[in-house]
Amino acid sequence: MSSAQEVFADWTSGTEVISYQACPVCKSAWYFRRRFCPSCGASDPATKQASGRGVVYAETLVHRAPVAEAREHVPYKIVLVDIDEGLRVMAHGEADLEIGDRVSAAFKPFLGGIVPFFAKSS
Amino acid sequence: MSFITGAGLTSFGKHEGRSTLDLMSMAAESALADAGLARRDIDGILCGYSTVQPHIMLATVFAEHFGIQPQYAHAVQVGGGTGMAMAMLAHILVTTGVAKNILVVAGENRLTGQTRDAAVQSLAQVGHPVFEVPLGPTIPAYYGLVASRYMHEHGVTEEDLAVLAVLMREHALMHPGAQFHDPITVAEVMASKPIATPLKLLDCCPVSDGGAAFIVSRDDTSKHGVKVIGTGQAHTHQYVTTAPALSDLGAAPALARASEERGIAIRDVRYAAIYDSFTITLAMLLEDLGLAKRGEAAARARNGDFGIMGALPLNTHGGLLSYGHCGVGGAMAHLVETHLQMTGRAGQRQVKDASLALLHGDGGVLSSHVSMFLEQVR
Repeated sequence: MSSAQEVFADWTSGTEVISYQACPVCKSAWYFRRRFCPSCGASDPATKQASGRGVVYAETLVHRAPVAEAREHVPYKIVLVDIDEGLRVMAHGEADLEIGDRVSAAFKPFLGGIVPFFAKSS
Repeated sequence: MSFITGAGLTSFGKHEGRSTLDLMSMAAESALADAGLARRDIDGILCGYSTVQPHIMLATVFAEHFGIQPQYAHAVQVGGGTGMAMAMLAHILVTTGVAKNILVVAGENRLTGQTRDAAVQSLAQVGHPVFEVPLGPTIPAYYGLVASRYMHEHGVTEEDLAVLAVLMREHALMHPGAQFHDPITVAEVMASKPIATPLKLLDCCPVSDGGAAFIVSRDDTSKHGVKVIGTGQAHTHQYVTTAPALSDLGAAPALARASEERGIAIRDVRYAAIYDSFTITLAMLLEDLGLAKRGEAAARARNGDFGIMGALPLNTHGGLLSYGHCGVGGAMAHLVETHLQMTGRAGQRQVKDASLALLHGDGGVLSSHVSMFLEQVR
């Protein structure tokens, strides 16, 4: 296990959190975990917890599942959400979400793990 | 300088009992015959990949099977952009003297060599294994996301996209090798079953068996070579989650690099061969490349501009949407058809003027782009 993976747990390992990484040198932020900053190459990026609030950037309602185990869930909504920390995440969401909706994240079980699930913020 | 001296294409659809190597061999044999070359004339081989028959050395496996001992050979992997990337590389290798005649070949029994579920599942793996694939996306879902945003920003409708599916089907009806032979209407596209909104079944290319090949040569060995006069690539991201803004995707920079050497203007293009994995892919690429104004690809199609008798004939074999999509060979069919058109051998599909063609392929989720210009030899 890399140190980056040890220091935080998030939805990809079953903890109800969306996390991201940030560069202490150039201040850029990104979602997909790695051991360096993809913008400036600096090592030891910081791991941060996202607020889980954002705006829907794109949406699709999936009717044809990629694997047999997902079939019982169709149709399910997949969204790209621009979260307030300045990065984009892929997640599930309420079926009627539209582009531009203000949303916040909860978590739901899916295919043996959990996934972020966005609903309209009240 | 390089020429495409020969091209070969199998029919797409079901080829029961044919393996990846069988389909590659069928296409390679007909490309060789078209170029008037024998196996011993081929000193380079580039091939794509096969999801049904993954191998760490597919080019060598094929060379041995087909009976060639090339001095240069390897496989290339750029997803749907592989065919055009191989054409570009072959052009560079021939131009720089590494080889004289390069056989570019791909084929796959993607339809009958595996279950449909296996095909859908293996393709979905282009997503991020940790942050995307666990959400259960499919390739249509990745493109459905892109489509939702593009339609939102540019006022494109589902009917607009359907028009492009109908156009590709009209063209396929005139090609005996196409997978589909029944005409479709906009209403039928709209009524086809939802796959990943806004994309419906008839917005999506099928899974096919098939093979395609072409020969890229230093000399115009055949009487029907066409000249490669510009190539360019751009790679902006791999995953849809990390894609840049729609206005910063790779089609335009790839095109600019391909245009550079000869200063080619887009208005001079007479024939277009554009990647069309989904109707949204085709609409976006046509507009990103400047072949239609923003949001107006469907309007040009409705006007007949992209038809065989139109001002800018497009994918006259039916494209991935209706000729079919067998993986790497799918987009190579666009190049084979372009070659036929530019050499006046497209039969009932022959366009009036294909003197300058633009070809464009993309891989991933609009991640990797390859543009190429071909010019008729006078």
